[in-house]
Amino acid sequence: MSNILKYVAKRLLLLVLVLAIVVTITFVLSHVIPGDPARLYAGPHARSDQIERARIELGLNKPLWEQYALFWMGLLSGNLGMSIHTRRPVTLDLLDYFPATVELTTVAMTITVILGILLGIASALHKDKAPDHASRLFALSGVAMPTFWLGILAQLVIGQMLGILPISGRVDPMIGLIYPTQKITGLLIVDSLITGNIPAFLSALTHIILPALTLAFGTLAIVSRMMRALMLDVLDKDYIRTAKSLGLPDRLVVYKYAMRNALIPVITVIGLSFGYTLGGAFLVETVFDWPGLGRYTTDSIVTLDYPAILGVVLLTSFVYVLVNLAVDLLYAYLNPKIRY
Amino acid sequence: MPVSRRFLIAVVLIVIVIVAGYIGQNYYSRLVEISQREKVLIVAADDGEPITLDPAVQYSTDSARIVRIAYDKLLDYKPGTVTEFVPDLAESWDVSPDGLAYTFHLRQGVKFHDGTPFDATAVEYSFERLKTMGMGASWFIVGPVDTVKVVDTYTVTFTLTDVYTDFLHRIAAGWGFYIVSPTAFKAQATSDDPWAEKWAYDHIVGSGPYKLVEWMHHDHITLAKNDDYWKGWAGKHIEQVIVKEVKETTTQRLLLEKGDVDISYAMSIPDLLELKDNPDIDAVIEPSFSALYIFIHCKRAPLDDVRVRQAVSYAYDYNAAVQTALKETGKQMRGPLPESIWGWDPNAPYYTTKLDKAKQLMAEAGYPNGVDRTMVYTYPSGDEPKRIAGEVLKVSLANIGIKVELKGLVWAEQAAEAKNPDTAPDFFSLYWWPDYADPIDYLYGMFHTSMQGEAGYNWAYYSNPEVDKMLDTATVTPDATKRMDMYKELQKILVEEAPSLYVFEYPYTMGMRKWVKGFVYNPLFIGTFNVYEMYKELS
Amino acid sequence: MTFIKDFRSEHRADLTELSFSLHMIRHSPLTILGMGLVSGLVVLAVLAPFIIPYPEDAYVSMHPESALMPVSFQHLFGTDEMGRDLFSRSIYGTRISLQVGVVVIAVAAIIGVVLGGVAGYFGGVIDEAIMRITDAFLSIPGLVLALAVAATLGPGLNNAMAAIAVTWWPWYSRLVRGQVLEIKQELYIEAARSMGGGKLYIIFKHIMPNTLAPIIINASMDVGFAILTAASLGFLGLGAQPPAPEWGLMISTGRKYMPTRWWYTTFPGLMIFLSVLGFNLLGDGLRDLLDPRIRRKGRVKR
Repeated sequence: MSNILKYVAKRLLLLVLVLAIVVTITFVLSHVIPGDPARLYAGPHARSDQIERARIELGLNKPLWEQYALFWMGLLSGNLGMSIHTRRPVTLDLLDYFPATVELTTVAMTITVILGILLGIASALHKDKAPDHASRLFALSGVAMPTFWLGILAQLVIGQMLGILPISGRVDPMIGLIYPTQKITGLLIVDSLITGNIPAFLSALTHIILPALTLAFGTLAIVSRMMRALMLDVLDKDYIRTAKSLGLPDRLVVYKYAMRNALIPVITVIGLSFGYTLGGAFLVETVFDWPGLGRYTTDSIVTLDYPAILGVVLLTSFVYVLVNLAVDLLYAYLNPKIRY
Repeated sequence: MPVSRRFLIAVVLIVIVIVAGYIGQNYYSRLVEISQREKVLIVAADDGEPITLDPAVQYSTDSARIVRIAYDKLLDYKPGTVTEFVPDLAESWDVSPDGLAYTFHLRQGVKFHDGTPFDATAVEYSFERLKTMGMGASWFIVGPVDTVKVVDTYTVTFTLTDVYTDFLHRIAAGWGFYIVSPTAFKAQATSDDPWAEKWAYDHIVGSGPYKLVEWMHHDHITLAKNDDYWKGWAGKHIEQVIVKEVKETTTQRLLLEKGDVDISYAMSIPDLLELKDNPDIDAVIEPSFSALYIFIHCKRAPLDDVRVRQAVSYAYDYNAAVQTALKETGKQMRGPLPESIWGWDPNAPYYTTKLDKAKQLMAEAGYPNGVDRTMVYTYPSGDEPKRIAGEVLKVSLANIGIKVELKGLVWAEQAAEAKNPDTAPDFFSLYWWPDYADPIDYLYGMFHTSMQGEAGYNWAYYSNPEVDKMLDTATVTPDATKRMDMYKELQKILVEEAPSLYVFEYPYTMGMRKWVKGFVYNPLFIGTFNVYEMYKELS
Repeated sequence: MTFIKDFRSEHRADLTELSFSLHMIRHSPLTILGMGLVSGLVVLAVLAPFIIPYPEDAYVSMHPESALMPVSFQHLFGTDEMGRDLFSRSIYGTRISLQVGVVVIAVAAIIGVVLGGVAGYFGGVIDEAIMRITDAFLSIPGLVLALAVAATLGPGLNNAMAAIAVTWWPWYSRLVRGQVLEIKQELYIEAARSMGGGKLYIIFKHIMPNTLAPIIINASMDVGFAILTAASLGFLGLGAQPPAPEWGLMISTGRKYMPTRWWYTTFPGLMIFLSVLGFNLLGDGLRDLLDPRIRRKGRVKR
């Protein structure tokens, strides 16, 4: 038991160190900006005295190392600076937009994991037959397909030509107005369900389908191929052959033994693909007008809102590192060989 | 096989969810009673995100759209006209015989959103605020005024520095003089921020028909009716407005076609032209007073030589720009003013594409083989017409040996660059639409020496004392014929000196579902809507 | 005659390997597809200015009268809003994208190799320091980091390339470090046995061939992904600027003219897809070829 604790402690320490470096990278980036951050902060209609006031407010007249120290102090007290565009603390903005991205990525990852694993198992079991070839084709196209392109095509074909699913936003604006959802977790689907707001729930559900599927497409392909390879590897192993030769039913063999053993390394792949999904979410949100971090970032890029952009970088890194830590711990727990 | 069965079940489940969602959404859409849906106006705009809600700062359609329906002015234009006024917060007004003093008799019984009463002190406060902050539209409203005096609770007098015949236009202009609640604003003032600028960015306390409900940045802004609005709510009116930011013209179009939004603002011209055949949609394409200018930096070599500027003007392929950007909905500008404006001179000279003339002028100026350095054209990235105009510039000037590089920047960055003559680009693209319908509005703001740099929009850095004198005189000349003569002369000079390319006039475009009624188009109020007079008929 | 005979016997082992490689390739249709796609793209990129039907449309030209025309024999991919031939522009775009992909990965690989090599070779504190920095860069989701860097540097293709290179080098650093560590183990054993001959020489002779293989495999697949990332940045407005015929930029512009002018977004997207696919398959095939474990099995990916 203490081994696990040691492992966890070691990982946590590393995590802190790594995040500290990420913070430093962010700080460096924030000072490589071309143009005058004070002038940008003061806005397009600002007078010179307002620009000077902004410069002092942002602490830009202090020496670099002092700014770095202040940056850290601000971070630790939860202050990520002020968004140039919304004139609010970036932290508040992030809190507003974060849940939407969480919702989207969670649904997408769920689709990825479930469908990916199922597809992978199916191709492994039907190796070199039709389902396998189909899934191979699917995987190859999934990896090569530009996410934003797929999103646009989905909007075009499913949204417009077939007209069965909505293509923009998180909820129908009319429904959002007349049946507003009380904000509990910030996840529309969950909140509307909890408060019994059925119109909003159904609207939110239909609105998330296309973006989530688009987002899941690429990683789904990767996970399914991984699963297939690992299943094949495991199925080839001696103990499986033994089990089969002993007359154990196929279904038992596949699910109880093969799948479980293949799942363990797949977990690491899922952890890694989460980062890819986060990045892809940014593109998907732009295409589908989804009000999450991605939209916030691309809008911030357009308005040169650097504090916002860097706030997003910090947040996503933090989340990504945590998710990977959870995945690694899970992996260590499941795989007795790794524990140390 | 067990796995394929599971797979099948998963697929079936997904299909069920999709179908259920589709049915459910539409069913519940219908469940929302028609009478309720009729009261909500949903607008999709590519500039749906306001830069600010502060009436003293706002100077673009994104903000004006909201400010116009949340705050009131002293006067307004009679719907559909650009020359007649109707009372708004001022019930009546008189002008002194010498034309220098305007006295407004204010409406009584009007309350601000915070319940405090409207009176002359509110007018005084709002004016002081606009003047001291000195932003947005203040330049044309504050300039002519000498003093503002509160005569009594409901009377206020403006004394001007000279006989500005267009003063009422400036007061009625949609960009400018809105009355705010002094109580609310003063309560938010601090020693650092005496005019509550920080707070006014995202708060509204006016006397207008709509109040701010919610502003979700980068997504939408919602307003709902002000029950105490002085005009009352008898009859049919929109009660709630949602403005959604939808950047992509394709998405706007799809939303409009599906009926998910009522108005779609700034769809692309090709899309609008296609929607003309749609029986449910009004594809509004109206002539406007808006035009595209490309300023030429008059203080930077070789563009400081008027011959080079003229060469550029002769080289530019106006037809290509109009055709590509606007199809048949626009036309080349003839002179520095749009045609529909009073004061436009049909006999004014203008440039047409004459490549040999251009080359000849370049040779005369000493650049027979073109210019070495690459020049820069800036435009706000994402703005199609400006980008196309820039691409046309690049191709056109290549013919006279000038290389042009296109730079797509954020508007904030583009404007910031232009405010400094050293960083301002060689070619700066700008739309100009009128603050009020008079040539002075255009020509003063863009070509007067005092409007260079931070003060205004003279980012061609053009300075001609003769032009300045005429501009200053024209505003205070009551005699219409004399003014007309001056305008003619100004137009002639501004074409000959070519401080700017006068590219094209572009139409006002909007897509609107036919069930929206009561919209009145006014070329002085582009991008905004007279929501209070509008209503929907869904059955 | 004897020369050939001697050559053959001297290099027997190498030749067997070579013929085995060719055998593997021949029996893997997907690898052939990959190689075909990639070579096709390279050919297109090199010959673009000479083979496209409307070379002037690649950059500076406009024909408003033929704007937004659908697919036809004169315009295989239709035309854009300025009347430019999209087929020519898409083909010319191969130049830009391929250049971006190769340069970015080359730069990232070089940085990664140097840093990873140093970390692996010296070990200790230097190793820890470099690896922590690598980890930090890897903690920021790729596209997010590329976006942030590109946004900071400003729009433009060169800035986009720098931004993408910044996100890619950590992978190579990790890869090379792992390789170096493995080899170091063997080397120490070897050095202990030998008379302590030039360690540097041995490292060079052993590290190079062994690390080269994984780098090449990863690099070939990564070129495809780099192209994809560059297109994503172009789509978001960072990266190539108009009028450059970059695929991502064309999709972003073309989006404004959908849905009736479907060709504008479809074909550039198709080009991206084929590029990524080609490099992916190539990398996969190379892995089968070069990875000794798979080679020995002789099994080929069909």
